[in-house]
Amino acid sequence: MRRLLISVVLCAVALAAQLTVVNRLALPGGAGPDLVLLVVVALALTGGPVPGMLTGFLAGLALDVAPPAGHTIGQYALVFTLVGYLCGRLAALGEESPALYVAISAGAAAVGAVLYAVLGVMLSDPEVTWAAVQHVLPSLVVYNVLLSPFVLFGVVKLNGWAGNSDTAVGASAALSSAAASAIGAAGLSSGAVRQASASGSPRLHLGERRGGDAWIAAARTSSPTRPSALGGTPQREPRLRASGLRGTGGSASGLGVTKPRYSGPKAAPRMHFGGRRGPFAGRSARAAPRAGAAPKFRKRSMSASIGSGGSPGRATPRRGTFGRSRSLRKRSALGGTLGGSRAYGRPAGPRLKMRRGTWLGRLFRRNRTGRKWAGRKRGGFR
Amino acid sequence: MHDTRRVRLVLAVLLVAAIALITIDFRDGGTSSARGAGSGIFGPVERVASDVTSPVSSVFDWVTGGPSSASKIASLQAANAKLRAELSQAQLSRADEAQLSSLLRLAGRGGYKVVAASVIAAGQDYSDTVTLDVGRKDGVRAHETVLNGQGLVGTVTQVSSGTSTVLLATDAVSVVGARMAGNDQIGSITGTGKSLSGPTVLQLKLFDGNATLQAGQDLVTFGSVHNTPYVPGVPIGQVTRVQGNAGSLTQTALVKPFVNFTSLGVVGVVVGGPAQDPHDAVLPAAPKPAPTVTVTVTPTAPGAPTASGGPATSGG
Repeated sequence: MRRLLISVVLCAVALAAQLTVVNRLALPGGAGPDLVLLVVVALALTGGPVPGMLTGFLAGLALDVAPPAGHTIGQYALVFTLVGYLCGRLAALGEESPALYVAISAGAAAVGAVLYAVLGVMLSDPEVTWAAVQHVLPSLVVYNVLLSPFVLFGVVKLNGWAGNSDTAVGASAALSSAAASAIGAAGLSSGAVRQASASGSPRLHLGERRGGDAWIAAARTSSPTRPSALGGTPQREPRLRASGLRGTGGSASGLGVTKPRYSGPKAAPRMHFGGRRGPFAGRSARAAPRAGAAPKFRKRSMSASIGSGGSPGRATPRRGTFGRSRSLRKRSALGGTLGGSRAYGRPAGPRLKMRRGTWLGRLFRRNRTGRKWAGRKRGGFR
Repeated sequence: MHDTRRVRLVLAVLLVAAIALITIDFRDGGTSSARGAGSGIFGPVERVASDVTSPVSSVFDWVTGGPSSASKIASLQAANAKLRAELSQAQLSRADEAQLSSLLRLAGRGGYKVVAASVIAAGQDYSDTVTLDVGRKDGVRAHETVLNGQGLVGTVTQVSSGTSTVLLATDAVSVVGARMAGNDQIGSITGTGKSLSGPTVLQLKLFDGNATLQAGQDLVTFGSVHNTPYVPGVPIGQVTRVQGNAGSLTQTALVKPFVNFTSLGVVGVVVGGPAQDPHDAVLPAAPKPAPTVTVTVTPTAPGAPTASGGPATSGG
């Protein structure tokens, strides 16, 4: 939800700035930077393929129909969809080093400009002639590449900020939830405000902690929206969340301040609050292993009962589907209503500490990488 | 690196949707209703964004000031910022006013009935289009001429209720019928789009291969049937370089437009054409190639300057 809001706002701001400011500047060279493309690239890199694709499609469509546009509708939608998909896929590569991340974003920004030119030539757009491409494309690529690290940094920072302060989204989650009672919502909001005030501003760490584990990490790793991600240790601690609401990070953060702790076993018992068949239970219950601390329980509205407990003593990430076999999961992959597909443990490998694929995963009730984790690939890149 | 089936499905759906959009819009020739919807949604957004971003520089000056301790300082700063914003707005208004008055002078010379408008947004990479803040409710319709104080700007291609899209004369799609100011030769003026670097130029194609064509000649619009999309007599530009035309039926030349297309501010949409063709009356600095008044001085009658019709002519 929060990611959705941020994506929409970012794209709208980029679109307005592009059309009203950047395009009117008399910049040296043929054209100015393409802000919307850069925002799509950054959002896809932090969000994964499906959010990247959808963001790209919608932002491109907006750019296609926004008033001064004279080209064929759908051109930018097509190009940005492809770019968003590619960036979402290549984001996994960027876990190795931040430099690779920046390189991917710069490359994608250049590729987007090239793709649009190619598409224009293919459609025999009278404006996109070979001479015009020769004149416009170099400056466009240069501006895009130069500006892409800044946009990426801004988007990552904004995501970190959104991951920590949940004021607005807590309220919206409460609004959007039919299950939330008024008291619960009020408690959520006040808790969220407390959380926000306590969190302070996020900081970005580049390559700290374990070299290469996670280069972008907010300072508050205990934030509920930042599951897991200190990989590599066998000792892990599950963090459990239960919520009768929509299961957003914001919804759980209300109790982030007053979460109970106990010193559990070294490996993760997995517990789920909420019935397995409940409409939101499977999506909201998430066991996220973390390093070296005690398990925490996060739960908010206790309308749901504790349904099934996980078996303790397992260090490996659990399959996400309450004991379903993989083939069963595969078979029902398109069904989209798998209750427990989002309850999984994170693998122990290096993980990017940005939230990825969550807001749309919620939309689709499946996490995009749920299947791989179900296959217990440890530490591998996807 | 394997995609889940859902990822592939979403990708396929989105790509098919994009290609379908392209196909539909391509078939309709760019007149699909999605554009109207887009104008309705994004037009007001652009209007607000343009209002916000134009005086924003003065506000930045205030924001970047140091932290204040006393409320008095804060109030003074607030007042200062307000005054600065007003000043910047006034300066902006003065610039706008100058453009507006020159626009009105040109419209008065030609007898055009114009609706004044401001440019609020500009098109993307390869297209030369702008959005104006007037629309159907201001009386603007599609295919009307757009001009400013210097000359021809373009033509309206799409109108929503509050905004309209203008195809600039520099766009590669734009073709304008033109007439040479001196000898009434006709031709067409095509935009060069983004295919040429450097200052914006237009390309003239003169239909008569034998007519005299040389640098320095002025061009005005020839005018279209029923004054759409172009009214007659609007100044376009000046011939700067005649291109080689050996063995061709037409002559071509590069034309430097009168209008500075990179800094468009106040423009006018011609909602009513002139009663009769103004011919060359609208051209700027028209008396320069016409030293007509001082010819009739005979050597036998010195010092008898009869009343000359032309005002402010330079006595040669």
